[in-house]
Amino acid sequence: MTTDHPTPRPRTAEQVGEQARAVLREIGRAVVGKPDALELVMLGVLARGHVLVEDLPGLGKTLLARSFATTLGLDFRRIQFTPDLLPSDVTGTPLYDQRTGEMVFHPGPVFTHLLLADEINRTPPKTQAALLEAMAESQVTVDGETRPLADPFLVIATANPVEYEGTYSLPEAQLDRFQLRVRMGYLTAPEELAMLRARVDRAAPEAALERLAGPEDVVAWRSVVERVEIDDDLLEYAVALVGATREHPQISIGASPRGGLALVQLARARAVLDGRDYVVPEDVKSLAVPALAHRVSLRPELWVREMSTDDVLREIVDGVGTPTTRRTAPVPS
Amino acid sequence: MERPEHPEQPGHPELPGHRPVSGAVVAAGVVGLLAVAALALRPAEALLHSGKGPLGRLGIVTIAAAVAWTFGTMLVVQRLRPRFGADRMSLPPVEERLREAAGPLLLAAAGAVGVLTLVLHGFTRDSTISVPQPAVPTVVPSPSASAETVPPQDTGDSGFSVPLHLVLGLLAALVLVLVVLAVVRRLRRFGLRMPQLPGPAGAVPEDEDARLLLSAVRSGRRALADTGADARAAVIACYAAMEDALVASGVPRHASDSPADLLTRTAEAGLAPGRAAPRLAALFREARYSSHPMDASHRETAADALEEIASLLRDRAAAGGREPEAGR
Repeated sequence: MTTDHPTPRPRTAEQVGEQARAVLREIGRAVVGKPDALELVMLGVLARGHVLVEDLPGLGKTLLARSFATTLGLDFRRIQFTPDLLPSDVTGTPLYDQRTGEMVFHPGPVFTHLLLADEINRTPPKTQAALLEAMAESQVTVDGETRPLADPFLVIATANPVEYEGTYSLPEAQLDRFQLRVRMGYLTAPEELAMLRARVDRAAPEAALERLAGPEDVVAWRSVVERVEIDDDLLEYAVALVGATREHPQISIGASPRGGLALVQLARARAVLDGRDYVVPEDVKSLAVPALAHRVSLRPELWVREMSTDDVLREIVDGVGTPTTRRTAPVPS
Repeated sequence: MERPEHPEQPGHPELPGHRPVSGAVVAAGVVGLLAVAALALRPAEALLHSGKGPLGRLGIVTIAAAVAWTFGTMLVVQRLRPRFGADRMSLPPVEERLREAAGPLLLAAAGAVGVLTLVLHGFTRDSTISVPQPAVPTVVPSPSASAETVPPQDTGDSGFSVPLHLVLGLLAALVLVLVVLAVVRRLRRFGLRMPQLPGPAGAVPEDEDARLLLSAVRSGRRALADTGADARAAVIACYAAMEDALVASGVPRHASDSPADLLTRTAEAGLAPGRAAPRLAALFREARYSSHPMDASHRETAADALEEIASLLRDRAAAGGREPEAGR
């Protein structure tokens, strides 16, 4: 797919930041009152990650994913995960073609730019695992043949955290493959009122969003993120945050090295969204909870106290020191 | 479930040259010592009734036994603690909780037994220093010999000697300190922050805050002048000087603070308002975390931000009814 926009490909962080913010403003017309959640999903898009949206039903998770696909001009497929879904329903399967007498591969919904895995915790782990290779390596292997996926490829998965009947908790290995976890949360009363008023005024179920970019733009944005610089002291800060999750007394399994990679990449994406080509401590600090909280496991006694990993991660972020004011190593002017 | 043999486990910390002792031997030893202590110190009367045992006639023996028991048991418990913590993942939740509680409970019990030994012992005024008198009949059977009646001995329930008071007081204080330390350590482990004492600048009046901040602004200006041609170092030094001033003004920089956190707290405290402080912070971020070339324009922008902050502070001090020393 090619975009029909005549605008030149942005090459600086400032340009990319401006375009990405325009996309967020457009999506904000449909998904009301959730700027933080939208920004986090955009960071996942910029940082080549996959996003897990975890919250109660009816908070706009599906609308959010569809809005991103529309505004970014990406191919969009949706899988409604159910208990009887098979792995081949996700990846695709070879079928016999009577005309040619050959087995022809019929690609599954995973062959798209943006895949919405709706209620991913309603399907058994076997089918959930079918997404593993796709998410980690942007390819699927069926019948011994490996097929690459589209570029960009992004999974936005939704999960309902409160229902236990008929659900299958995501395995830690699969949770670790999501670059960040986003929680939507309820709207405030004024925001909910504004949402209702907008719905009445537009006389249509959903706002019609404009396409502001295309897949090539997303690829170009990602290459700009790769050029964002990050100081050694900030890398040490990220390592300290990840290390603190492994030593915290309330955490039984700390964050993996993949968590540190995700944190740094998301911090670089946040810098671009802010129009910078360098990372600052605020980037790392603000993303520690969404990037790491879903990768740690609390000790069992904390489950009954209803403590969440978000709470423990916030405590860790408040306890780990940011880089000192003065540099530890000189940088040439 | 297979029970692990902790001392023989590879990787289990053992002192060099020490042969590991099995748990059964330790348990048998502790029970034996307890039995001997109970027999030696048991009161003549009922349990939990003050009195003396065979060894208790010497008060110093009782005190020494109580102290030796308390610290000896605590030492043993501390040495056994690594075993409590081994193989946590293989236990069910109930056993896991019991295992966690074992260490603190054993330590507390050791202290409690030591204190109870002293409290329940029937000390006499001279029991700590004298050898007990042999048993003497208190009453001569013959009524005619009443003049030879020996006055009954003091049973010792009536009072304590001053050195004993001192020892008991010291022990109580020691136990209290240990308990407080243990509680504080445990609370800190679970993330509770201790309340911080207000800084010396917290009690100074508002115009004093402004004066301190102005002095920092002056030091920032000096930093701008002293760092010569290195604009990056000048901007960083300027921001650092402002940070120091905020600390002196009662807005400390926490270790986990980012520049944005510090600015937020500064604004909440009513110090350095306006847009100059965020501008200086933005310059600092670029100087500190990027390799962008920094030139004289950055230095001038930092100097302008400082001037603006100084001006705002002067206005603030003037509004407070006192003209502070100008930051020149």
